[in-house]
Amino acid sequence: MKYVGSYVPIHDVIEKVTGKVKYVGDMELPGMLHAKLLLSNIAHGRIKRIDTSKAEALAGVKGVFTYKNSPVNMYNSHKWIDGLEVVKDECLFSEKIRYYGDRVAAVVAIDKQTAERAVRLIEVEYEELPVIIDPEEAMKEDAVRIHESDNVVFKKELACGYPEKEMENAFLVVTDRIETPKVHHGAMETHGCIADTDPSGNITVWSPCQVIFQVQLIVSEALGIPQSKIRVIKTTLGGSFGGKGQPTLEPICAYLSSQLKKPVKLLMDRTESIVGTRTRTKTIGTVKTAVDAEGNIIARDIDVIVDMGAYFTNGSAVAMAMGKKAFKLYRIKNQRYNVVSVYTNTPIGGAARGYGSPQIHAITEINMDNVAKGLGIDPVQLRLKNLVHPYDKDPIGGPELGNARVIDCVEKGAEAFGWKDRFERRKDTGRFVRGVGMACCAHGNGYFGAYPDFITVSLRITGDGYAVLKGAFHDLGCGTNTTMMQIVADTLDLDIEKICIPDTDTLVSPFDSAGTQASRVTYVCGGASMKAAQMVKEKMVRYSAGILECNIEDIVMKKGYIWDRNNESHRISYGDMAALIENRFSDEAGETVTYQSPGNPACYAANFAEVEVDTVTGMVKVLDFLAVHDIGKAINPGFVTGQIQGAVQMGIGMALSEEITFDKKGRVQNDRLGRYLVVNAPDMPDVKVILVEEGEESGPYGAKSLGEIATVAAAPAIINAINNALDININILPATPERIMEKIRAKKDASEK
Amino acid sequence: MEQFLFDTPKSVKELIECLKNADESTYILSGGTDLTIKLRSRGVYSGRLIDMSGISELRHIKTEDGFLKIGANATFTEIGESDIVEKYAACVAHAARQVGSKQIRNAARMAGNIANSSPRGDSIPALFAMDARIRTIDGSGKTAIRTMDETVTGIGRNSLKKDEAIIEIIIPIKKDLISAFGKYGRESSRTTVVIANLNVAAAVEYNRINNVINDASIVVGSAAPVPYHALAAENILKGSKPTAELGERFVAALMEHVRESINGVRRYENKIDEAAGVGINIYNMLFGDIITGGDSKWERK
Repeated sequence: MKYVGSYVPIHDVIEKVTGKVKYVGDMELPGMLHAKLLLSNIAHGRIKRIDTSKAEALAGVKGVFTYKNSPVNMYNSHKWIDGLEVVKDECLFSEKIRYYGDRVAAVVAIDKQTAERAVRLIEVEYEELPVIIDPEEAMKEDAVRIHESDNVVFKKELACGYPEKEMENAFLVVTDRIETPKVHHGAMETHGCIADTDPSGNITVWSPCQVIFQVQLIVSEALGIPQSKIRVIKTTLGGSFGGKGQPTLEPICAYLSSQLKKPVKLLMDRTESIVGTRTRTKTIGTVKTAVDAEGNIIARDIDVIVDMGAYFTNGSAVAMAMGKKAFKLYRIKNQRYNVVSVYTNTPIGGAARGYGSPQIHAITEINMDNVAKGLGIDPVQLRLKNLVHPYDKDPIGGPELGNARVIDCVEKGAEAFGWKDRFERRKDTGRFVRGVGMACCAHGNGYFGAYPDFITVSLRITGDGYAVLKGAFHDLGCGTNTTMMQIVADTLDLDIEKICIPDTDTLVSPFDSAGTQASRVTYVCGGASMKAAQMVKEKMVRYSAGILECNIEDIVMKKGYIWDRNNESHRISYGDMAALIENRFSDEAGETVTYQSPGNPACYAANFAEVEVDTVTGMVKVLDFLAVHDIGKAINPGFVTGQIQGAVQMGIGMALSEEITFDKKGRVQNDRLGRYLVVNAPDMPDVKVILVEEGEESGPYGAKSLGEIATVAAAPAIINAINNALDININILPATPERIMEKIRAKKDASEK
Repeated sequence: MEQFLFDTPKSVKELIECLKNADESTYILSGGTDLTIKLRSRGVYSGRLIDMSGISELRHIKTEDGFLKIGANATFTEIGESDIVEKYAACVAHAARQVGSKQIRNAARMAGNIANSSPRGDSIPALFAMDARIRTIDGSGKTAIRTMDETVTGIGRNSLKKDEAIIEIIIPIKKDLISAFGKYGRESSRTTVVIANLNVAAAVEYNRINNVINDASIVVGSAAPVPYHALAAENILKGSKPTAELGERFVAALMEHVRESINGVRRYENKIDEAAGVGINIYNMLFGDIITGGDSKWERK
């Protein structure tokens, strides 16, 4: 293969590095107006009085919109396909304020500055209500209700075997209660979109989104207009990580444009993106693991509270996604996963790289190391005893795990990392103490087994020799389009320069059921692209035999040319052959295929970390990091390595510094990047990567997913390393210096008693 | 439409002309890394900006008449990379290198950092410890000299008048002086591009021959509304020989200062640990090689 398995630069690399690419914030339409949102500065209450007259009177202001002059069509931005049952608790502007950052009003003006000034002139008087930050408080009987329903809106149990009974016979049961934080996605591009309305009321939305058809659906539901009147065009993304997965601004912007019959641009600044969009869901997990004396897990019990924030969005989906992962990593015959999802007066939870996977694995993998400690055995050995094997069955009846190669990951990783030596090394005694930790994780490949998972793609060879692939591919900046181009180029055996993917646009791209979600892109969309290329190839071979008057078996299709193997000198280019097919047979050298995902195999990873903790200040330095991935086959190893390095950066953030924090009134304290600290380059370790490429039969060229799983095991590996260094038990993430010092002190106090 | 008027004087003479008409809506732009954010967050959409960047005669870093002189237009990068700042005021160079990011250091000026008067500003404790003076000029062309505590008067407050601009930072050159600066950012393990949660600058006069610390100036920043001299820590050092035991007492005193400053506020308690960390680091920078012979670091027991 020429392209699959090799590094090919991302398709828009030149435009990006030369600054020519237009992000939505750079786009200008003739006559465009600018909108600015007023977000609430209280966390819970009702609008008693809102006076927009001063804002309206400001020269240049074209309109001010609040709950008083906007439709109240309830929707749930998480809904990505018709027929999905969801709790609809959101509308454009609400009279009730449920979190610090809730949408109060929008101003549209001739320019951004006027819109900003006008927003400051809106006077709002609130009747404040008690604020609930803590999900456990929200669950109490007498807690104030955030919506009309109870604060607990979703409960579910998944189970196999008899965990309670087996727990009683255990040699050792280790219980941990672990909290994971609300995290901001931190994409370089903040949220924004543009909407325009034509004289017939058709709306076009330009959005850096993950699912064009979801944006279309949500705009349609929020505005109460047919989907067919809404066109959505995906713009170049400056990162998303799930943060742009749910339409937040698009329905608002579309509504503003529909009212003013003008193009409207709505951009958020960093503070607005942090408080007013979506976050990684906070969770509190209690896990009890029972083992026998040899370290075989005989039962496990997991209770999770999902803090959804102020609106439901994916509160049930993320709870279920977490649960399913808990059954895919270890051979545990008796296990129960119990989850509740609750409202709090905090920023809204949503999709975030890993979709609950980083949370559930932080909870269970930190516990696993504590089990190993309890047994006095090496955590690598404990895992090797219990990890799933290739082609194991999912014990709760989920899709087949497929060629599950997590044991390979752990064995290869432990060897390369020098785990044994580092784990058994005597602990440092001075101010700076080193420790090692590792963690494993499992993730899926799409929605098969849970939700509709299909994509329609159309591939046609043009008379001038290009292969045009139409599909709703959502490149978020990590190389989706290039990956599809590599797959198609190799399948057709055509120069990659000749593969063309038009912009993702509801008017151009055939329907796709789920967009860039659920780690489905390479596996499902890549599978579809490969299938289409195979079908086009077969079709061309068939017609070519007719044109070249030879047997089908004698047709050679190679490097952009077709010929009869018995007449090698007469070679016809793909383009010329496509023209011949069109003229001779009134058919195109193209196929449209609706590809149903064939499965949902699991992919795996093992991460190894070494840290150094300053016992005086609690500061942690990640000295070394190794990520080993069961990826099936890396279509583009350069992208894969880049994805992993970036994902580890997010994982370190979750482990050490990233957490949206609140004061007592529910106001976000770190609403800017000067206070919300992501890990930056000087503090990044050199992330080493090992790929286990054993192939997944159902994936294109054997490929499985990577983008999400890459961030999952990093945080627990680092927490385990800190715990290993200091012999403490960090149970609240992130492990800030303050939290580490608390544990050091508690340990010291205990030993002095 | 409201707008900003922008003046870029090319000389101190032109600066004086600009300052003459200064009023409440006049702002001095000295890099702009703080000012532009402030203007935006306060919703200031009009006024007059006096951009200092055109005055090349204020870009100097030089020694003259026993003083190290840093022009108001020298960037943090230039100060951090200056050999003479490193030689005569190492703590100022250290502080300059730890401000913000590379991009910030390329744009921001130390003079602006002083005028911004943030309790978390890094250069303020360093200059304070070095007993630096601030030279200003006003609209009438009159220059004035202030000490650091006369300049920085509160959180985000300085004693400069609207028609007054900082033109030079003056640091006395002292014999036998060694100095160091250290900081920790807020509630995170991040080591760079952090706003100080605690910063400390130390300048001591140490006579190597007699092995005695003749004088000590220790300034703690980010713990109180304005940086202050850690008097107890200074007294411990003054007249003493640098030993491991002295280090213990010095760090303990520094922690006690910070403990007093935060006055029982729980969410600031981590500043006490940071005081220990920064205290050890600074003591090592000053005397580590003397105590250990240079082959290892001094650690607290």
